[in-house]
Amino acid sequence: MSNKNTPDLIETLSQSVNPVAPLGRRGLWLWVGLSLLAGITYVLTAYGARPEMRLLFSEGRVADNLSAYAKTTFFIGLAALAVWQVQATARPEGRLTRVQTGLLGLGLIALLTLTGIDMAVSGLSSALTGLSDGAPGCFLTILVGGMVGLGVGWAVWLRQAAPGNPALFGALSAFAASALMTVAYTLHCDHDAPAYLLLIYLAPNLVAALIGSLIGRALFRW
Amino acid sequence: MSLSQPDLWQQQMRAAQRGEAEPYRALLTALRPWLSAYFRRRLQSPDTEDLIQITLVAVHEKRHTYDPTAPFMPWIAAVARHKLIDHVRKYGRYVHVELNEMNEPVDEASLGLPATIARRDIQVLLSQLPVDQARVIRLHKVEELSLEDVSRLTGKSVAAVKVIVHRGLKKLRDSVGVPRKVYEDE
Repeated sequence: MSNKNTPDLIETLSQSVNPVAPLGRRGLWLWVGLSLLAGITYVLTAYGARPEMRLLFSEGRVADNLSAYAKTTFFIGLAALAVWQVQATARPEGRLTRVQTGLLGLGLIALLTLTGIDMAVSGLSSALTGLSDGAPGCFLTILVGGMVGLGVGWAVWLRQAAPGNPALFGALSAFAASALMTVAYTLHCDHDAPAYLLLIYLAPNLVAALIGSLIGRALFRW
Repeated sequence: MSLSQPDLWQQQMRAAQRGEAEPYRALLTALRPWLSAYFRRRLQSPDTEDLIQITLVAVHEKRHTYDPTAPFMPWIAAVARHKLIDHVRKYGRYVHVELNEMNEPVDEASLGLPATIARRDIQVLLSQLPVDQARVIRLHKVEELSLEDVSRLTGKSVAAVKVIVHRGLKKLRDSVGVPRKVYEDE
């Protein structure tokens, strides 16, 4: 490119301008919906629903034991926050707000605190019960499902973004995709110990975020 | 004479999103001197015209990411900044970042960028440093406190403040892709 070509470039660009739809949220919600639908369908088909939930739904006592939904609710909140952060950073001038960062920190602190309390009250070995019971499968399901979700997100909406920080955007997108898969997986898994949630549920989300940040620079380069 | 016309550019960008060629041509033409000034303030190399062209192409390809309800200047500044950082990483050019700059109100007389945007550039850079180091640099380079004042405020010795500032600025230069050799030669 050289100085004398700039007017020509401007002419070429202005001649080739077509109407474009401003980047909206519809595609983002489509990604979220597709991810949840596919994730839930896979988890319920391949592994089945959590026993308490199956019982509550089959007997029509859906609201009788709200604690059965606590884990799912927590991860729905985490996934919603992650999707919100993806939306906030998708434009060149986009950035995370203090509220968003604070809420994410609060979620992590809450889970760490619960884990600490559980370990203090029940003892280490009791708090870690269940970690050997099919845990690697849970971990991998969430991680691989999250990566597939990231691919779906790329095809549906993410590739239209122009983030100011592609690595951060990649990390947040992968975290969101993995968090959505985690929501689906909570409908099956009946391990509720905080240590389990931390190491088998949250950890794959963080691994996904790390992978996302590494590939984000190439994936979201513009 | 003012280099920027935020309201007019916003209208022209909205028209460009609707596919109107004439306002778009006017916008790109008006952006050229603005981008030239933006890059010349930050990049001491003869590459600014290349960067202008690269940025204009990015504006074209990513025009759908402009939110028509939002001000135009933060968007174009972010696109230009992104392309500048990309360019610096790729070619290892020297970027001229004046830390004092953010204290001066940057208004219509220069680039039409609100001081908040310049401040944000600095915040983004400083956020890459450990909190203590960023604080010392902010106090000394941004708030222009003397080494002695910074020393008194932070409880560190003057020599330690000097070292922290030196190492911090080195890290910042590294983070925007300036090869070690370039600044060691300065």
